[in-house]
Amino acid sequence: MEKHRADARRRPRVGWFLAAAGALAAVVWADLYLALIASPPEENMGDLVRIMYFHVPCAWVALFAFFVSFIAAGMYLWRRNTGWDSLAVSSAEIGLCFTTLALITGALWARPVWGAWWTWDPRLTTTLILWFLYAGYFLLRGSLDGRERRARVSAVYGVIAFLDVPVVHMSVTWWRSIHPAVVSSQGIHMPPGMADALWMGLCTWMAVYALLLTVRYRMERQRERVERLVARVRAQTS
Amino acid sequence: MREVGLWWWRFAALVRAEAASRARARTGWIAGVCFGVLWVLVAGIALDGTARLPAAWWCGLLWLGVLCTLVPQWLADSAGDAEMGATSGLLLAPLDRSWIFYARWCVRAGFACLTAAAVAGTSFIILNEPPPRHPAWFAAAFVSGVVVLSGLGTFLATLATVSRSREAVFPLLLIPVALPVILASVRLTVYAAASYGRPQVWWEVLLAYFVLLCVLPWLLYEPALEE
Repeated sequence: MEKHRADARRRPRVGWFLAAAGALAAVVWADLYLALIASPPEENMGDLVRIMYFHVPCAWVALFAFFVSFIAAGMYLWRRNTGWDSLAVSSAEIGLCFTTLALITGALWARPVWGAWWTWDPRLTTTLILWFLYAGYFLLRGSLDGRERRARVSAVYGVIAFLDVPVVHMSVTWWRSIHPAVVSSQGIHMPPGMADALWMGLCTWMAVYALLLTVRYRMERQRERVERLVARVRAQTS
Repeated sequence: MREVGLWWWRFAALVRAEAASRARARTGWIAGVCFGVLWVLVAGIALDGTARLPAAWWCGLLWLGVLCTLVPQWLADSAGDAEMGATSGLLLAPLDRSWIFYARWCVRAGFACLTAAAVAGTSFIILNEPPPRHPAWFAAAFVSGVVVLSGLGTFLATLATVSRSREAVFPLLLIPVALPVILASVRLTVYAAASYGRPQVWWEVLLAYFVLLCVLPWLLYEPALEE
């Protein structure tokens, strides 16, 4: 009986999730259409420019994800509520995936345009450093014992790791960079057809991020509940 | 006024205790100096006994040697403190816990400067490097770089100490955070050695890190130290 009640409670959530995933799939298709078919080719790069509609949103969403992780880490240190820690780790994990995608798509784009997979460009270098910072965050987290200690130590490191994010953002302004500044205080530097596709890409990847964050956060909370239950059962049996 | 005097006396006591603890663990820092000298020797052999390196290469190698020498030392110091109960003892000190970090930073920076000076001296001799064109600038850049690196190393070693695989994790935590400091230190020493480059921006990078190291531990060192 209790099981049926629990199932009934879960059903609306599953329905909500499926509806959100379906709506997101439609948005992704629209984004793909805009990026790969509807947007015009660039004057010099031709169709190669279409990588930008994935590369730039991935990079922006990654920085946003790290920002969310930073805020959540700060909130954990202030309030000591494990929910904030779950949010910090979930967002950082998605941020790391998006950074990896941004680095890969960037290398794929750089090879035909700049003639090399990798250049010592400030934005490229600072982004790779950011990747290592968050890889270190997960390795540190994975090697810590105890729920509270893991959350506390990784929150402290999460705050420090975020310091690279403003550096990545400002790198094209502070140093000489071959990376173009797509958006500046003067506005967006591209024709309207391309700008529309870029904004659509950003909205789509932001929606993907939101959905992934929701799922990952719930997984993390479930994992914590299981850990607590296991600990309680062990305490009762010993 | 009396309160401030008492507070300084407590901080000085922390520094004394830390310095005594480091001096007693002499095996660690003597091994560090030996390793640094050995590192320079190996670098010289790997470069085919080169007679003279460009200043930028020599400075890069010098800082790489300094980093390779100091990273295990910082970790060993923090791990030793945690295992021997020194950290737990320090928590009883009637001061804000961030001052434990400042005391450790002062002492470890001093010991790190000694180790780094041994590495620099050896690399001058073994790699046949001429004296720097601006010796005072060279000394200032070298000491500033080591002091800021020591601050980062001390802070992050505290975090890594509680990790099961601290030896593997610590360099991965430290090096990405310290990269701008390493870059700034290399550029500043290149300028001092060969009057090459613009030092102003790199002094600003070191200063920014120094300010961060003065402020962040005040906010974050207490949670890092909690048992």
